Amino acid sequence: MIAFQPEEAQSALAESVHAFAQRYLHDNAREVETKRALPPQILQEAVSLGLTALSLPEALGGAGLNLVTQAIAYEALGWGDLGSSQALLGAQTGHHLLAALASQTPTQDRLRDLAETSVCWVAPVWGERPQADGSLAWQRNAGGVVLSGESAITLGAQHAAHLLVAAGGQEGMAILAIPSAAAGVHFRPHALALGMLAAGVGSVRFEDVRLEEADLLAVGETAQTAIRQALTTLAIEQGALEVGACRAATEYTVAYTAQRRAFQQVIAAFQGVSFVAADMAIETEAARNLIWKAAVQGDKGEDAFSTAAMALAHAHQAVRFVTSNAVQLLGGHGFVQDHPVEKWMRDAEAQVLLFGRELELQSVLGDALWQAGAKDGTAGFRLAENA
Amino acid sequence: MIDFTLTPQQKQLREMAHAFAQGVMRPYAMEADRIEDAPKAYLQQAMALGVGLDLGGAPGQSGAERADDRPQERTANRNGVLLAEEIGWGDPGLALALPGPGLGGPPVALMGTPAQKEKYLGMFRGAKEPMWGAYALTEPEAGSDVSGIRTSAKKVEGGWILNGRKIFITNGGRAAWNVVFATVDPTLGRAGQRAFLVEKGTPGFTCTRILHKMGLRASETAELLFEDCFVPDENLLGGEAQYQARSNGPAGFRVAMQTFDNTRPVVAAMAMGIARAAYEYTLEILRQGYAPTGHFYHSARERLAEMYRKIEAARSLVWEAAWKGDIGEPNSKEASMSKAYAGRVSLEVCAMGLELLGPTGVVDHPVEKLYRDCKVFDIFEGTNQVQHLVVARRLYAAHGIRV
Amino acid sequence: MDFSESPEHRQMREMVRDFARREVAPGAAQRDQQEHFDRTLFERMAALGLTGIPWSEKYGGAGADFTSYIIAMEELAKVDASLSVVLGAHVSLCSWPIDRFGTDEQKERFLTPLAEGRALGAFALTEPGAGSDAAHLQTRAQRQGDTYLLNGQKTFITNGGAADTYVVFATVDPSKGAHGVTAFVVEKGMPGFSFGKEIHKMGIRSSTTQELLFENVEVPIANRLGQEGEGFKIAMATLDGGRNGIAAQALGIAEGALEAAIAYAKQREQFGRPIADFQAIQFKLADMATAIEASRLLTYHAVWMEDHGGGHGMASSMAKLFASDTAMQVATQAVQIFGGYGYTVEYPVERFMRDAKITQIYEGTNEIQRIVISRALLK
Repeated sequence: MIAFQPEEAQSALAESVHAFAQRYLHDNAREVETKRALPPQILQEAVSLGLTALSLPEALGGAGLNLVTQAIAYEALGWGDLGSSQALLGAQTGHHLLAALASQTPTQDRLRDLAETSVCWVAPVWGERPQADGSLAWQRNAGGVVLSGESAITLGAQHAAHLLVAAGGQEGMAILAIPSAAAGVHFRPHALALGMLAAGVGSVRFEDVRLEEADLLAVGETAQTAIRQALTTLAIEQGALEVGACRAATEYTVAYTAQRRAFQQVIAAFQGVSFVAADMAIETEAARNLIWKAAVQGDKGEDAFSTAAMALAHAHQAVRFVTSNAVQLLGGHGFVQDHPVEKWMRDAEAQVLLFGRELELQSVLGDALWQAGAKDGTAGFRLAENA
Repeated sequence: MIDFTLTPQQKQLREMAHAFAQGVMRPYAMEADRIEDAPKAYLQQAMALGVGLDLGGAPGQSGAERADDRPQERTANRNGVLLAEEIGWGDPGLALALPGPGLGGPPVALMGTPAQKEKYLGMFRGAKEPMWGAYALTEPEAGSDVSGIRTSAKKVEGGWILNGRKIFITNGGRAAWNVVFATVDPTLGRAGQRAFLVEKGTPGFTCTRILHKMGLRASETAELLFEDCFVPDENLLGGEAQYQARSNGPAGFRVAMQTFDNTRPVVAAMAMGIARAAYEYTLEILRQGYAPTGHFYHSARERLAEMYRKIEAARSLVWEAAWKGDIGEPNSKEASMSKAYAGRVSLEVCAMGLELLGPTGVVDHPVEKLYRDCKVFDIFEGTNQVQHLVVARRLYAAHGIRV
Repeated sequence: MDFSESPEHRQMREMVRDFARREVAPGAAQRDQQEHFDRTLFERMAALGLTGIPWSEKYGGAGADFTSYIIAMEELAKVDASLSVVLGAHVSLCSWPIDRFGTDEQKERFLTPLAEGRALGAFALTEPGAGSDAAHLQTRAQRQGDTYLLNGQKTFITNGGAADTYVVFATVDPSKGAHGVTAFVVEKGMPGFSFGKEIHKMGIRSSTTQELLFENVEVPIANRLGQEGEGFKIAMATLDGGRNGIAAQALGIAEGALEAAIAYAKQREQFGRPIADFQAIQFKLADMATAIEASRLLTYHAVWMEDHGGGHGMASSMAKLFASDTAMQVATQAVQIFGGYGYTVEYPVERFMRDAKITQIYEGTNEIQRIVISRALLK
């Protein structure tokens, strides 16, 4: 039955995550950005609340939340601050791969060990089909495995204990686990000004990194399937964070324009202002609904890969639209650092570059749509004989 | 619960509507557009199948559940938008031309006295000939601003005298009755408003003109004139007591607004159905002409994905508004959101379809017609600007600001 | 109608382009990162005669037209919007009202050093509470004999702190609204005139933005521009002209972003071929170039009107509105084309995007421009 009402337990979770987000992400976001790091006590607090393991299944020591519940919790975090959320969660994107692998294999000891540390998925790539980061390659060598290449730009890697990558090789695509401290792993932090300044953004160079057979978590079709599933749940996480950012920016803008005066009235009285605020609310609402739709589909055990890509593309578009207009409606005040909106806009622009460009996400959906076709697309119309 | 699946009944309902849209509406769609009318054969076929346009109204009194006394969750609004999407997909002009109480149904169901409901809604049961109800609100000088209406109602012995003009009234000329909004005193604003049931053939009531339109040409859009038109007391919608109940606020206006809260998601759903038809048609024509490789394919799939995504986003807002109405919560914000968004993106989707099809799209193919049909969905039942105003008011109300 | 560039204009463009590429571009990313305004670049512009392009040679200017100035703004913005902001505030906002409304004596005293680049100029209208609403200023100017006592605060002042000469707007009587607003030239170092907090911004970071504080600043009557109560008119006229400068800046930013996107698209390979081979990218580039061309025509038309004495208020508003929206769109698209790399400071596009945003906001937000345009249409 069509319904949009979070359950009581979900609302309660949202409330407690919201309280955390307000205190630790929202109120000191500027400081986190300036120091380019999340204070350790915030991380500890988040860990103790289980916020860094929202996407882990029970089998791997997580809470085993369904995707809708995850989306609700991630939205609350994103509401706090998108950049700080990524500083908190970026080193845990590997959970999505671990969860996907765990659902496929009975031997989970290795996965459970990895889940106990921080584990970052280095450079997830959306494309026509699940694919490896094009510049990473693996091969077998003397009873072990060697990984080489430089990853695309990603976030969280330098804060993680283990890195997970999808690399191409002669036997097919593989998912590999690499200890960050392994010889030959080099982080190349990128100089940034745009956004996500505290999230550890950069690429990782693997210089003939030698790994053991056990580090080869999956090869070939198993890896393909796991990546597809992990991209699905990752898209829901990222999209939900973006929806939270949209909501924060809309709320802030409405509150500001409701009290800011110009020409002897509050500027909300100008339709040039209030109509844009209405559009911001509409885009936020639609983005949330689509994320929920993908989550519901996933929770029912259906393949939600292209729905999730669609939802993420929509969230990308919404978060750019909303944060950019937040700056615009605050005018000069929006552009300067006295208000949070300029940071939100920068973070949003960075976010959409790191998690699948709209072009790529739409290609994912477009391929699926083309393949499925529209059964009754042209059915029924009686066209004139000679047009 | 958060869920987007349909109940088995809803699936069945949608399948039936889809079959009707595909098998009965679409074959007449192009012809109806050419002749600017609903072909008689179509109306007869619809009557024979018992398909009419009923947009529902009050809880437990409408749509499929009218006779259902079991205490179960109300689903009329959700069922309504599911149906509307399908018939919009079939043909929006022919959908609006469907016999039935139409937009006039909800105010009668919501506000009418038992006798009025029996007479004016009951007349559709078992009707042999096509019959319509209509909703006459808009005036030359009062569009979406419902409070600005000037058609006057003067109390006289045994009834009321109406004077004024109404425009853009769907099915207004052929309707058996119109719900006509008038004011006893314009200076009273909304409190002065009354709604009347005016039957076809009432002396002093004439249909002066049928308008020619760019789209929705199968549906009749009428201009109505009221010249010293006498309407008996029993045709004051809901009876005078309704309007005196000040605790409920200005009643005439409230009826109009409640009607909008229920019909805006339906209209939005229809717009979305049009967009879906344009998208599906475009996709199928392109699939017949191109292999999934190469330059054109790569840009086309991105465009198609965008069309699909926007339709999905619109549907989610429509469903949300309908759901909120069903559970009995105020849904004017969601209703306006769905209408504002669906109206805009449906037009975008049709335009993208036209562009992708190229010359194929404009030469006697339905997408150009769908594009023309779609435009008005951004306008009627409250223009896009009005929807934004409603949404903005709800947003700023929390800050004590009236915008 | 003639769309060709005169030899003088071409020469100006080549000179500024050369300067911009050789001397401005190399350090632009670093200055942006460090929020550093480099005064030596301003001095180099002075040496090249850019600081007083449109002013009479009598007052140390180059005696050229506004089109030449707009060309310089565009070429600078292509590589570093911040430096074009510095020049724009100096020429359009500070020097312009002195040239237009100043007495010969005032031009001698203030315009000459500005034109020769010995002094840097700024324009101080915006206040913490007023924003784009210039008719309701809080800063007071009380007449006391031959001087005025200035008290109040200004915010978001471009070149604030760094500048030597400030055109400041204050009211002699708040009850008079716009009719009380009066313009003064205030110089750095006057007792009671100090600077408040520096304002950190998302873009145009290598231009300074600072608060100005006036505490019983004694400003001689000789420093008053125009009559008492003429300040509002002066401010509005100045902003009208300034809008052309913003349009040029936005145009330059968009061109810089497009240039970078084209270069990247040709060089970056995906699926075994340059991404420029993909139609989706090609079409984006085509749309970007088309919008830029439209901005260019609006901008140069507005400045042509300014040079030829036409009323250019509406043309300037349209140019500013369209060019700034275009700059934002083009820069955002460019970042998208770059993908993850667009996000790093190794490429300039993310800076272009951050810089573009302000062009939609300052000297009257685009919402204000729409009000200006629609009022002219509806009057």
